[in-house]
Amino acid sequence: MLGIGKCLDHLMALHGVLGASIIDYASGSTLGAAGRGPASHQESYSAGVTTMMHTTMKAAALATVGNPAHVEQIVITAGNGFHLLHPLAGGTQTRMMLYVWLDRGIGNLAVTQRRVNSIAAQFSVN
Amino acid sequence: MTPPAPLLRDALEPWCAAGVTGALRLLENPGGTVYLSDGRIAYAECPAACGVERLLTASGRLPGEAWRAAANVGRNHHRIGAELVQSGLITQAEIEAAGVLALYDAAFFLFDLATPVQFEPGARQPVGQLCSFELRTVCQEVDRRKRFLAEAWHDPSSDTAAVLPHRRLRSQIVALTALQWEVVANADRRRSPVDLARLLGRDTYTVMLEVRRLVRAGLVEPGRPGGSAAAESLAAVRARAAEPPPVMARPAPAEEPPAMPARVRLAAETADSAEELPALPRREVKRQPASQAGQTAENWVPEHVLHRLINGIGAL
Repeated sequence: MLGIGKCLDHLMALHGVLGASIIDYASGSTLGAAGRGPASHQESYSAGVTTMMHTTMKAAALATVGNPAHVEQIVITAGNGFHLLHPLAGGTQTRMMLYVWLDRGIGNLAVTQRRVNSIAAQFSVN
Repeated sequence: MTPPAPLLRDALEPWCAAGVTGALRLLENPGGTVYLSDGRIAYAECPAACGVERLLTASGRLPGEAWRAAANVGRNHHRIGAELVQSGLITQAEIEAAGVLALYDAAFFLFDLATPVQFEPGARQPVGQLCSFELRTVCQEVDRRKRFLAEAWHDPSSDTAAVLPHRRLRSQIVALTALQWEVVANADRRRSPVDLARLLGRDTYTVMLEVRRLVRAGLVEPGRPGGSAAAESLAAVRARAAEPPPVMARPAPAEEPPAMPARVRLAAETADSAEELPALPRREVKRQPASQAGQTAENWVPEHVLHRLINGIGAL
């Protein structure tokens, strides 16, 4: 059984991860943060990440390709690294996401994505 | 002359600095409790906010019986949460997340109130220890939420008024978040955001935020105030707070750290420096934490706040 702190520890243990946090994107609150980035500029980061999430979800809602109602993960490739936004699936109560900041030089995006998936799956029992 | 009661966030300072464990209870409307654990904020509850129980049961995450069963076993040992996790119904991370959301939700409504408080040493929240934060962290989050809410839409009237979805729209297409849909689908033209939050098992702040966004988008309008006792009491407290010049409720307004200049203004706008005529009980309460912290009753607020502020500015 993972608690929030353990969950963040697992994310931070992934190779090349610079920072990780759990964000409630409905209210924009950071529920837990570790590493660089979100921890030091928590407010502006989680606000930015939350906006990103809302924008993508809105765009997805109006898109016609595939099954846009379900966004599993958002990856932003930026100059300062990869940013992974992973909404946590689970009942109606869930509106939280994992956010991972990955170094572009050291980190392996595909491996990190799979690990983040499995950590997210352990977050909720349903 | 009796100084006005300090805001709850300032009243909490000496208790947190002394590293105590216990509960600070609000004695006046709207009521509420902040639980401390070794000087850190561990939990808070308030009638206007959604506690862990409502977040988990009303949202459909847990059946009500499951909560009641865990409460029967765990209430007296302060381990309802641990019982739920042990029974495998919910993960540790989920219950912790619910604890943080409930804490922030209640803190948002309580921290800028100026009401008499009473400290109960050793009291702990029945749900158990789910998280703990420095007072400063919680204050920052409360300030961020106030700013966020004001940015979404400036008019606070929709927070406690009945939610009335427009029957006709001028626009051609509407995109809603899932929570906005739930708000619109459950608005029966009497329920206020406070009632909708309780019904949906969402935190009240988030529902208020979404309703303000809906108002800005022209999809919803605020109707008559009230709806439920909790919404009415919140509206009454806010109205009372709007009456006197609210700056006087701040013990050391000039010493404000530069990072949070919005605090005084927002305290004036939305909450909550509830000013009432009888001043005596406040004075009593004010003396109480001072003696606990081992300082004189007359000057503990400025000294303490100043000290903390200097540390804070240094840390910046």
